[in-house]
Amino acid sequence: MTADAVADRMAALLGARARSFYELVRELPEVEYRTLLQAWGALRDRRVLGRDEHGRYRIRPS
Amino acid sequence: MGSPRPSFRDTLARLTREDRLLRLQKEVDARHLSALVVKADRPVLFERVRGFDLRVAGGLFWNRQRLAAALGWPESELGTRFVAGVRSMIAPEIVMDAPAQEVVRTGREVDLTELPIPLLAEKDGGPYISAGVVMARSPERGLNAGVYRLMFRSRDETGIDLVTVSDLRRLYEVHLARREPLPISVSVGVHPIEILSAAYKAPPGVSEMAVAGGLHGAPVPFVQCRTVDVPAIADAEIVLEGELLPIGWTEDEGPFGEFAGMYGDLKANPVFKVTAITHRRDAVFQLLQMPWENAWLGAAATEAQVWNVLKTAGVDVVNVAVTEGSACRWSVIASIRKRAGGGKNALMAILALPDTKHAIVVDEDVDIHDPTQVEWARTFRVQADKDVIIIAGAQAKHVDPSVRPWELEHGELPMTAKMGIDATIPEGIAPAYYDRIRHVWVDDVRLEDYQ
Repeated sequence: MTADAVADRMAALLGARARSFYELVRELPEVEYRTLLQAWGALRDRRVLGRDEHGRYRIRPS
Repeated sequence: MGSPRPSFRDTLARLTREDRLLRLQKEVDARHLSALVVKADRPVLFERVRGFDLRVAGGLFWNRQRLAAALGWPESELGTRFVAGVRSMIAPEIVMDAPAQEVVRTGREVDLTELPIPLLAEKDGGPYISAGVVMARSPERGLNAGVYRLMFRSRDETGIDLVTVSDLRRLYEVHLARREPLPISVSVGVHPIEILSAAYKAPPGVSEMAVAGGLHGAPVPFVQCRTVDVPAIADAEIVLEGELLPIGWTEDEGPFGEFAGMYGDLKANPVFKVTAITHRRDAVFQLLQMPWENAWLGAAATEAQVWNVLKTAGVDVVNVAVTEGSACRWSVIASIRKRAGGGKNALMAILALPDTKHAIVVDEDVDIHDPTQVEWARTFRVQADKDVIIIAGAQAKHVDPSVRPWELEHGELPMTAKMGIDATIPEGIAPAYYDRIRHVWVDDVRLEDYQ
């Protein structure tokens, strides 16, 4: 799976509800760790991430 | 020609020879690095990490014994050795032979995802580089070194925690006011003495790396970075070069499981833009596991402070130890050769230190590294109405939840109550009352003779 595809899945998961990075990674057990890092970097570069009051990630409302 | 002092990998080699390092040959998922380091009974070297070319070492400073072994010092001499190093500083020297630059990646080749940056704790805001010695140059104060956490953001960016007052923060503020980036280097995988010295908050004008030189008895070798005007440690395993962007405290960073064993909040912090990654051909990425590895890194400096303040107060000090549960900082135990009133004097001196919240002073017959012996002294040599000192309204730190930092107004600083326990033999009680039982013929009989 490509990093961009994993980034899309991460965005979908965070769009559904706020998650810590650990909770997010636990949802993607089949993805290689390095790909997770690449995907996370790609997702951050999209500038769509926000945080809730507990510091968990969510997709910012557009 | 290499440096006369040992490097990080020399330390790993020595620990291997001493059978103090667990070398895992089986391939490991980088997700599991943190858990495996916590579960191991000694430091770990992961020889193969899936998807990465680098090896990973972690857990070198997890407790007093491991820290002392990594340093190659006796456990009881952390504080006194550190004092000696500060007194005999040796300036770093620039060298031409830099193993840290065997591989150089700049520009579009920079990719932090080549490093097995681990996720350490459940609520952490992301994977963290936790064992980096960050260096920056100050025109007035010279070269500053410190240990700062770096949260992975993307292939060429990390967050950096600059909320707490520090020399690096002051330097960044100067550059920020001029809207200029601050060049820094981050050396990962350096000799334990160098990261220990970097964690020490040296007085103004004192170079942490000169302290490291004093502790080594030889200069720390520096190399000029390729893309920024800052040096790095020449035989580090990995060096990140780059700039702290002049954007101020604007980007999300944290939460992070910190040195006190609790999470620090989500913060707004600056961003580190990486302009080069250089490393050894077969580099080892060091993982500094929270909370105790970070806590123990500060232990030697704290114990050195206590030695100094007790000597200044005229106390005849025998030994000093910080306690792990207090993050090697908030609680201190000292043994002394007591004169009348000396227990209380010692307590006042120790509690005057800004970080110390609790102190126990015992006589020289008590082994302060044995919790049972300390408890024995606290139980049988203390009357709470006479031997416990409580000082209200003293300086505190936000990281301690018991000071209720969330109730503070903006800009208001927390305060704490300090407690000292004088567990020395009270004046007026003959020491003979404390004669320890001694079993018969213990020097004459060997259990091995009957096995």
